[in-house]
Amino acid sequence: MKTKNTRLIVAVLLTILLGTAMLVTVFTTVGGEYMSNGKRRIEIAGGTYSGEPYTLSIETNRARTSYVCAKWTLDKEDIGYITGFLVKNEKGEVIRAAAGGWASFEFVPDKLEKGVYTAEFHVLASEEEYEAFCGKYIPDSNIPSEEYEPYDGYHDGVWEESFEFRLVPYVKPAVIFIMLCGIGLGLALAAIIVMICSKTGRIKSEYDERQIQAQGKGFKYGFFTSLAVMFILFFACSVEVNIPLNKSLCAFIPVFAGGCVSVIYIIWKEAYFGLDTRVRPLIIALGTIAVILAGLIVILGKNGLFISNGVLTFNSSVIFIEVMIVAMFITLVAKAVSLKRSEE
Amino acid sequence: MKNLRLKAARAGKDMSQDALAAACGVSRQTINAIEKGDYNPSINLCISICKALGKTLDELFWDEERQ
Repeated sequence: MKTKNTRLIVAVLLTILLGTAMLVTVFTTVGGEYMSNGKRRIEIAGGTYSGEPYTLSIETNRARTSYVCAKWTLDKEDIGYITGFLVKNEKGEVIRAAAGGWASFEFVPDKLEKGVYTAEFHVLASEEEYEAFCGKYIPDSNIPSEEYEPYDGYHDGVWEESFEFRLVPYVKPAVIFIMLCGIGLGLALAAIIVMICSKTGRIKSEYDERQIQAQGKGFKYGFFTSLAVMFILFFACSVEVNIPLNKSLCAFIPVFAGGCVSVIYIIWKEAYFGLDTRVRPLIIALGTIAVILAGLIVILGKNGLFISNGVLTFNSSVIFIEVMIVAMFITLVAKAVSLKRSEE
Repeated sequence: MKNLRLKAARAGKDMSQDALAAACGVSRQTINAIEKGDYNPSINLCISICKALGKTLDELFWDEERQ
């Protein structure tokens, strides 16, 4: 018991230390993420476009030295409307420019110094051009002209569209340090949960022969699931299906799907937790993690950090993890109830 | 197929599934699975169970109906 308490105290101290280091780094070096949401509004009167480019001011906040602009991509919804995108500095000099067009538009300014910037959109938006756009777009999309519904943002000669321009701090060593702290923090928290849930206080669990057999099957199913999901993603990429996931999320999804299947199977076979694991504290811990993650999802969702340029960002991996935690929680509760019923 | 002889032997010794599992070094779920016929234990585990219950392998695990 004495050893268990010592281990627990060490793990808690480590968690506090890593958490503090992470928060201090976040608030002193990285916390300057700046995102600007805006709305493009173009009046189309008498079939002519006013000619004024839409402008958006971006002011880098806090005492940071430099920022990197998140990749800016316009998806198919925007085809034909934004023909150019410029970023100007305070003096009005064009520091970055990208040409748009009917097909695609991409702009990636690598690094911006602290200051005020203006993003300028050049738009083709006369009523004739709008009609021309519809005429060009419809044959490719197999939508009959009479059934074509204008884009949601187009009403009574006014085109409106929301967009975002995000600047994230360019402090690479700090970001790497925070990631390492985060990984360490996660491991320390997991160790605390395992120690609390273990009767002996040991981190390494022992399993019996049935559990090892079930784990083998679970890992096999997980492996095949990963392969299947990877194949589906590969196939979708090969036939150029537009997958609304960013690249890091595409790499994460097969691993997540495989992990999810194996974990749920192994829990269902009552082989995930060792012989000395107490289930009730584990259910409470999982429930607590699920609630915390749900709060995080709400915060991220409110700040619009799940979708960027029409694709799911890596932040949305939190949703997948939440799904897995909830599935684990439900499976554990269901098994605990069924085991109680079959007892003796 | 359910192993009712194991269940009866355990009850005869007034042991719970938990107690038998602890004596054999396995989880209670494993004993439960063996009694329900969901899991076929290894010979080593069968021997451990027999020793814990003071029975022979024949008495607990030999399936006469199949012979």
